[in-house]
Amino acid sequence: MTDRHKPDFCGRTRREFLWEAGNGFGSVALAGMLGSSYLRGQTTSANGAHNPLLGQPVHRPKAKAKSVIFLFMYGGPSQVDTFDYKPELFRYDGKTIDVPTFGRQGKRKGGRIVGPKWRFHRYGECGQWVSDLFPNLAHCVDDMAFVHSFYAESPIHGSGLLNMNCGRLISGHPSIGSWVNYGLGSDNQDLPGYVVMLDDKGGPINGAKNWTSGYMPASLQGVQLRTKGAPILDLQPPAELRDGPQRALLDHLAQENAAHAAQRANPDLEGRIRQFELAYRMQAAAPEAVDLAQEPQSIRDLYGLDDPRTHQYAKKCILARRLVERGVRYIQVYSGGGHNDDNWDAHGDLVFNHTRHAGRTDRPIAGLLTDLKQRGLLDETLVVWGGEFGRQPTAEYAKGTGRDHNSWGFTMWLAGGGIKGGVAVGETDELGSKAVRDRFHVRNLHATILHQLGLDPNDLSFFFNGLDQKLVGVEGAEPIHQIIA
Amino acid sequence: MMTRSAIVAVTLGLLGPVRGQQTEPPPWAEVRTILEQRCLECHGRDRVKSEFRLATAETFRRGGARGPVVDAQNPERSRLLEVISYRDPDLAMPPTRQLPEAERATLRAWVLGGAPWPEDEPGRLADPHAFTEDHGAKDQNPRDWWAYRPLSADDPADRSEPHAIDRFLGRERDRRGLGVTAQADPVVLLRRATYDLTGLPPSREESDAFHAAIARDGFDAAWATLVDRLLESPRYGEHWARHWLDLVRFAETNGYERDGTKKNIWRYRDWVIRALNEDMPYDRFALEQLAGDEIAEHAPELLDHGVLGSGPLIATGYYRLPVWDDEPADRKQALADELADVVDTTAQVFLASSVGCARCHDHKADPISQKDYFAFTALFNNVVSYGGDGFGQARGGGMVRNLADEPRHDQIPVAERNRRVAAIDKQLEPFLAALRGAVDASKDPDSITLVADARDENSPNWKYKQGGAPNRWPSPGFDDSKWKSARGGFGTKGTPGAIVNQLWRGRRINLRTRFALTKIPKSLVLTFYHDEDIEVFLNGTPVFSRKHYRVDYTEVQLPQAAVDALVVGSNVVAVSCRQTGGGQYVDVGLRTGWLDDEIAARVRLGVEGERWIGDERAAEARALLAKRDHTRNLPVPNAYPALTARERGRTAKPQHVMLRGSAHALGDVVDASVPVVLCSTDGAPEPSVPEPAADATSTGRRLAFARWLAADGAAVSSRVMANRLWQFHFGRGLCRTPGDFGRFGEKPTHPELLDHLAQAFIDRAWSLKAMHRYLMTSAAYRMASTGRDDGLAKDPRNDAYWRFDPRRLSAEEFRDSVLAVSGELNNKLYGPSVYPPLPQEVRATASRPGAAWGNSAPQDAARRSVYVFVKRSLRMPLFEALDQPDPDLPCSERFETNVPTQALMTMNGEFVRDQAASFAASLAEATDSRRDRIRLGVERALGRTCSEGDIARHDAFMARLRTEHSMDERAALSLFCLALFNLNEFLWLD
Repeated sequence: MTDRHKPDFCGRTRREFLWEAGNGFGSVALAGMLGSSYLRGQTTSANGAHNPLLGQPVHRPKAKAKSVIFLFMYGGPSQVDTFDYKPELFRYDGKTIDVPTFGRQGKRKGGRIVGPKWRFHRYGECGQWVSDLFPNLAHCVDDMAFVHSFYAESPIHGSGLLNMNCGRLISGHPSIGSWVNYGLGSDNQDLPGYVVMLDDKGGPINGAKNWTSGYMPASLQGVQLRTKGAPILDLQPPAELRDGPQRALLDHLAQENAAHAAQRANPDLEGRIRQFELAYRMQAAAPEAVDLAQEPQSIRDLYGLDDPRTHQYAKKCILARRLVERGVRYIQVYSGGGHNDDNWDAHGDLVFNHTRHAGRTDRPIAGLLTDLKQRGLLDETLVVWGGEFGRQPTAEYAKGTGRDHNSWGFTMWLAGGGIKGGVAVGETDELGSKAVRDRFHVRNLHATILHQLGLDPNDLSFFFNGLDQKLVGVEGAEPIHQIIA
Repeated sequence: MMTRSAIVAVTLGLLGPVRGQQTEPPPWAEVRTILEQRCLECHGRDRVKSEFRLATAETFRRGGARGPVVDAQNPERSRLLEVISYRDPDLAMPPTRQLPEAERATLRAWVLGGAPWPEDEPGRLADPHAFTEDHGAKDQNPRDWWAYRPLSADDPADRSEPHAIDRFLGRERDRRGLGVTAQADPVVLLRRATYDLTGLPPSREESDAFHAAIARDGFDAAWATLVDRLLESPRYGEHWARHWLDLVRFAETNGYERDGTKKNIWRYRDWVIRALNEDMPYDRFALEQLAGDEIAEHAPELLDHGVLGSGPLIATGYYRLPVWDDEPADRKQALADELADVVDTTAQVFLASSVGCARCHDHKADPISQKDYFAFTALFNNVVSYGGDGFGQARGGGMVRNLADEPRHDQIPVAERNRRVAAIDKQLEPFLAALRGAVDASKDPDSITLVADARDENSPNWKYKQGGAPNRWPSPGFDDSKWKSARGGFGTKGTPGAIVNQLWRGRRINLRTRFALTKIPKSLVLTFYHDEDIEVFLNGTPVFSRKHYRVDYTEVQLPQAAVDALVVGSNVVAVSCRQTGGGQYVDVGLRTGWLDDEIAARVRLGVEGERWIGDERAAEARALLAKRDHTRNLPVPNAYPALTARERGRTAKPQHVMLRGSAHALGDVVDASVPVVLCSTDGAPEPSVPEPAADATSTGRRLAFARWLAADGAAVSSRVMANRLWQFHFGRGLCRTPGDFGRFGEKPTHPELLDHLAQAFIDRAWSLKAMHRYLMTSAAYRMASTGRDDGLAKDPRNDAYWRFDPRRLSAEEFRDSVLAVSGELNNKLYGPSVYPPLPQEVRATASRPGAAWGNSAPQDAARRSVYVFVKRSLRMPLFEALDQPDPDLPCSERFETNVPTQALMTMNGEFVRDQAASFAASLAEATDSRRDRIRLGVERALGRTCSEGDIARHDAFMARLRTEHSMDERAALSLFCLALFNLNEFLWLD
């Protein structure tokens, strides 16, 4: 390879990018997971003197957040019924209006307006508007920053989910959590650095593509944490191994593997010996992390854990906080799974659908923000709320209140992790159909997340297929400075 | 009502300062810095994109291909401001990154202030070289790069090394003052060779045979015999197919929301296995995948005994492997993306070139322009897209061809059967003539749909009743007003290909609907799909019945009795369906007209009707019809729809450069060609494509490209494949970036050796098996993997091959080995993919957990990993954990990670534990002696003899389990087996 060292250049060798990753971000990530032959092969510096990945201190002077909790409202919540107050829209309820839309039904020139089905009020010192869907969350607005002007590239679930999770419409690219762990590594060796909690109704469509590591090593993909049974696949030793026998097995393996390694010059063998011990520790650490018996009644009440309606999401929100406390970098919590009204995809009866999903999540999410704050964790935990897109101001069908998908404009909010509270940026038009002022692409959200973690979104790259691949794409993207404290 | 202009007003508010506003321009130095740093890379002295060069005031004023970039009359409308407004991503400048707000403001103020550019020295921009990258490509002849040069014939003439490979490696080691490691132990070599060629451990019998042969014939002869035997094993093709499937990102579903199945794509996988087992020459292997469908038309001389066979068509399933979104947000772009996926993969797989880099802009390191990229695209752009140039759930079949297996001894080819049937039809023709005037003259004009089936949006409602019904229920007079009503398509969701509009779960269902006739048609065709037994009545007359089930819609010509049952006015069609188990579904449609075998159908109706033909003639016709039925039912090979390549016709539409890779921003038209840097002659595009015949159905471009790979492009393509062969034997390629031989990749550690191997590959007529023999008979391949102090100190990454690199088993090798050792492995070759059990918690991650995964019988679930269904949205956790690559993008080189979740799966996971239990059972059955069980276990799992020390340690382990944990003998034996599967010695090869 030639000696090129200019940054911001489309393409370095794998060796070079690892070198930069080693100097710039964290060491744990790659050094921890790649076999030494890979490192031998790819990461010796140009003069061959030093492997830059081993033992470099993590240096992130700009980091505001240590962890991210992404509350994914799968299916696409309606912005005009939740946080994007459009007073005009109430007046046009039932009237047919020319307003272009693009959803699963394709492009339309206009349609029957469905007025917002909930009343809006101002809350907090900042006076942000919140609909009656979120009576609890409404009291947290002084900690939240609303972005009313997001837009995404696809109004279809399949590609829309990939867009929001992986930055691309085309399948095969790593998800945000993989990027974060690639850049930062995990602070906790006993737990995965990237955890996904799904709705009890099932996964979102695309399944594992939503937490894939794409062309990065599989060890960077999201690990599902279950709230029932063993939290992680194969974590629980089977009955015949539980208690003593597993220790005996591990001791025996350690003895045999040590004798085997001693006759060989292959550091990866030592690495695998350590992995067995780490796995053993994980068996204890992960159940401890998900053990809610340690939570006092006040916390249970705060999240709504004992209310059947909010129980499921409350449990996941408490777990998210516990994982943050244990150094897990990126946690994604899905609200909604499967198909149709099992998620926020309100094509039919808007009131039924959104009442259901907001009702299940309002108190748990408010509890999470409150709890993080009272523990002093909100400052270093970035919370993101939103779906893969929003919904249209018009009705999808001749009858009913259902709204079709809308990726031309939708609201998401962020809180904590160095985000300003009580602000709102961007605007949709008077009907809430399209972002028109201070528009932000999904890439800007991704850039903001990486930036708050101390990573430069336009520099964090992974060399693959002849390109310096980035989460924010070759176009690059700026963080949303207006909401950064 | 809100007006349209109100919305427009909101939008206009964004556009900034009022038109015509004149501002004071910022200092030139500020502007100049921005232009130099942001624009010169693409608009500087040695690179001039869009003919727009930023050098002096004059070149700036002249502008680019579309004229001046500043509009003096109306500065607000200047193109320069448009490209930095970022309203249109296709026009954004610079293309790779938006300018910071401050710089945009400066440029804007400068343009609005008249864009003053000094004429004197300060107006000359800095030397662009100061700001462009040193790619290593610009200063030298672009073709003067190791990967593009002709093959070198260098061979170090060192007589002491009999094998050329060792001469090359020895020369390099000598140069670096490195010693060499001695030959490994035969036990190690047997295991290494067996895994490298078959992906499985050697059996005890194979081991015994090898050691006996060494004793009898000497090592070299025994080794040669061993390699030959392994290459003859069908396991070889299964193992090496996996390498290829990584490269071509093989998967059996499309990804995205529905993740639909690619029907029969496993036949492509089988084709790869078979081709490797038969040692199909690599040039042919490439050609059939790239252009198998074009052979018959464009290169009949390449036909095998004048016959194409189904193989080359199945091979073009290569084009059908990518992800496919059936409802993309931007259809035009999606078609372009699908094509780009094929183009990028083809370049990486066959040319080790990151051509894809040049889709949006000229390649940043290699001499490949954007024009080159689209010229290369033009070779493939006439292939019909996955959705048949459309989209939607029911699509994905625009490239289906109906193929058939090779006939067995008791079968005749379909063509032969059709020929015989046609001969009988010829004999039937006179009868038709006799019927003329009765049947033919009153031929119905076109097919008229009487009752549409559920596939049609105009399908009618049916009255339905589940369970029993009175005897008279099919008759026209029956009162069905109390029955429920629903659109057709009754059954349970998940029945393949069914369109379920009304759930039906019961044992039996009865359906009735009406249609009107103004005149009686001459013939009826029934469309139907039934699961299971179906019976159809017209106005109470039974006209059709079938047992069992089918998995798709089909048509049948109804007998004359059906036509006779019709009346002018209202008619009732009644259907009953019975179900015993599994999925269920029923739907029918009815139309007038004839099916394809029209002559026979008409004669049959005439005979059945007994109206238009005399008794004697009728008997003769009946006999012929019976013979025809018999012939039609002769056994023929299994026919199936296969996903293949298909072109749109003999001429392709012009290929435009797509600016920024956008299908909405078309540039110049380009001619089909490989990238110029690969062309052997200056200027002329390669390969040259002969004018297709007038009746050709494709352009022949892909075929020309495939032939070029083996001719003028042979140096590159043979280097690429020789490097991969080396990689899969030695753990890494001679070039460590096997998918990128360009300037972003690494240079080979032994370029002359790579050239030597490439030439050897061509000289051996592109035979992979000959190359395996050649590589494996080198001393280098047979070296031990033990460390040497000098090597570890001077060359820790073993660039000089002073030892053989140890390697970990792949995910598939691990699973297959566990099955082989436990004795459960099912060695069945070929066939549809299998579904080993997936833990419930993994299935639950799918959006339809119940329908996410199949359920194979235990013996099928124990087949080799290459036969496991590859579902893009749901993959086997064990495979993922052990680094099987994501199948969405081509993978030239797997990662090798080392994480605790792997240990959890191999220690706690159900699969490995179950196999340990089976292994233990077989050991217990083999012998009652504890010592012999240990001995046998170690020998089988690790492929080596078991020492007394081994026995003592394992025995102590089991004793501890028995005494400290009160385990019985069998449980302890199972844990011993589990330990064997988790040993580093099991997972690693020396």
